[in-house]
Amino acid sequence: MTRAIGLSFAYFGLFIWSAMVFLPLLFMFVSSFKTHGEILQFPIGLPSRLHIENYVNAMVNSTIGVSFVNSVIVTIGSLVFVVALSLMGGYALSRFQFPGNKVLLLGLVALLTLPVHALVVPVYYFMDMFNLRNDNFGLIMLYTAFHLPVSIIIMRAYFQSLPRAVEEAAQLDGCGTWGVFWYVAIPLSKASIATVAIINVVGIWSEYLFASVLMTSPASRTLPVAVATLGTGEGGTDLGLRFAGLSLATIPILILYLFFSRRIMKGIAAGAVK
Amino acid sequence: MTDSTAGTEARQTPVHRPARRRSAPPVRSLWSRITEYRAAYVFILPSIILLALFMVVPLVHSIVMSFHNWNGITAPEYIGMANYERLFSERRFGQAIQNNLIFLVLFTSCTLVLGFLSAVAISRRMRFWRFYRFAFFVPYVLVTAVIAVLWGQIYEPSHGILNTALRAVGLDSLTQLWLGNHRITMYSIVAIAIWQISGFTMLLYLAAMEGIDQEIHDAATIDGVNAWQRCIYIIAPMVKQITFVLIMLQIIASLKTFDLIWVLTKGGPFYASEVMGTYLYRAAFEQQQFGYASAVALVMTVIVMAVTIVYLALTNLPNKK
Repeated sequence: MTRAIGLSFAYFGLFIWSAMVFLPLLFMFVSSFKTHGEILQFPIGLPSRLHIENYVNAMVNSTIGVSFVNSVIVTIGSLVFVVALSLMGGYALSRFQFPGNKVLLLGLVALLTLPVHALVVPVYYFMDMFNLRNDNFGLIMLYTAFHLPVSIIIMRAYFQSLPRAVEEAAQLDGCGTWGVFWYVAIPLSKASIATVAIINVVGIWSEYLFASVLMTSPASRTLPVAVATLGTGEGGTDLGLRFAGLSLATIPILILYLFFSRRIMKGIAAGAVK
Repeated sequence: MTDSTAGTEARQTPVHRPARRRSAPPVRSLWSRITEYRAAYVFILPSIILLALFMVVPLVHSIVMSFHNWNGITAPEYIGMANYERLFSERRFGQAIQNNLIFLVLFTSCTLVLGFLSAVAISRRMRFWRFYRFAFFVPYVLVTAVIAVLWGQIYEPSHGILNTALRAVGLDSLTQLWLGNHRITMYSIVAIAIWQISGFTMLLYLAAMEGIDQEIHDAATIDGVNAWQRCIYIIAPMVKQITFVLIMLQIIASLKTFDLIWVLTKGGPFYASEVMGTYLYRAAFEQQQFGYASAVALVMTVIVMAVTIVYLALTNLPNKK
């Protein structure tokens, strides 16, 4: 009997938590089809009809569309660089006992402890000086650098765990360092490439602080910066537009998560503790 | 680098080189060893350059500027420790640290408890466990700025759904200025952070719990333990390691928190939700006090680094094989 009561409490808790996760999102999607007036008058409730024009407005008349493209470019660009450089760096640190190897590893760990938020003043100053503000490439380089320490360390740990037998065999067959790396090491690292990409993608896609100080012109804003101001500034408040923008920023991630949730969860769990 | 140069280089350099540095006498000069490993340096160099440009140089610059009066435009003027003296006497900075601590305590404890409990439910395969595992993690993948704007609308006093729902069920007395009342704004914000991150703690707990041997659970079942005893005496001790890791991660996240608060309240009303991050941002980009902001940043860095070093020692990250 007590067991049944305990169990129903547990299920009740799980139900409440699930509702708390989805109700705000439901509220967001429903509101994105309402007009500004409807949201003010009937905050809870369905729209009179589906006001698709909010989405059209968000994509065409506001800069959300541009920001979306910027975010995609910056995220993919940063991920490509992080993965490529961490593969190379992790491989070098794991496979070659070159002079300075240990020092570099220690340096990476030290950088790992550094809260990058605290670098916002000098980064802003230098990026401004070298005209890298409002420039996707500058932001890509910045994000790449910020995510390199943890990624290199993960890649190094992965290569440490990978037996060298295949690489040695390839070498005996006349493969050079670059060849071994390209044809043997990289194809064997698909799992760790996925891990590195997954643990970094949320952080890069969502990054707000640096994007908000560096990408100030409307045409260069990334999505987090754009949604933070959408529907408030020019032309007065439009809540319908605001919710449409929020939905647009959320839908792609939700779709990705829907398809890859197992993989994403595995990658994040692995990346956080290893 | 082209394939051919790398190839010639590698023929002289076997990939596998037994680490005999201690036993073997140093017959070759350092320089010859450096040139021998040229390929390795080529591999690691781009990373070193990026890290130097975007992290090391800014850090050093930040340290130097924290001893200067500097607005980012005119020439910096050396003022010794004045920025730090001001920082430690400023009441608003003390308040910011206090808010960071409120955030830290509530955020860490609540995300751990919620994460632990939901992970137990999922690992014990309660009905619809796959759904819970999917659902609870959803907020973690959303953009923090989006979450902030969305919850800003939920908390909005006149047409926000929280107050509207309370009024609809006749609980008008409970309606609040969730973000406008300086007494509760910090708690309203922490609630969002807990909402967002509990799925993450659940995930890590879950990974640890899936590793517990089923035989242990079977033995406990035979011994007739109830669900509560199972949580406290069997599961909790077996996931102790991950609990330490999570506490450290959440402490670091609490000290660094910025986006959520900045987008929601900008640290207001009247600095009631000011934390170190928003204080730093305000000093730098609203008041143009770059030197002072650098001092704030360094204090923040020292605190976070100290915690992180403890964390790294616990997880033994760099030595993981």
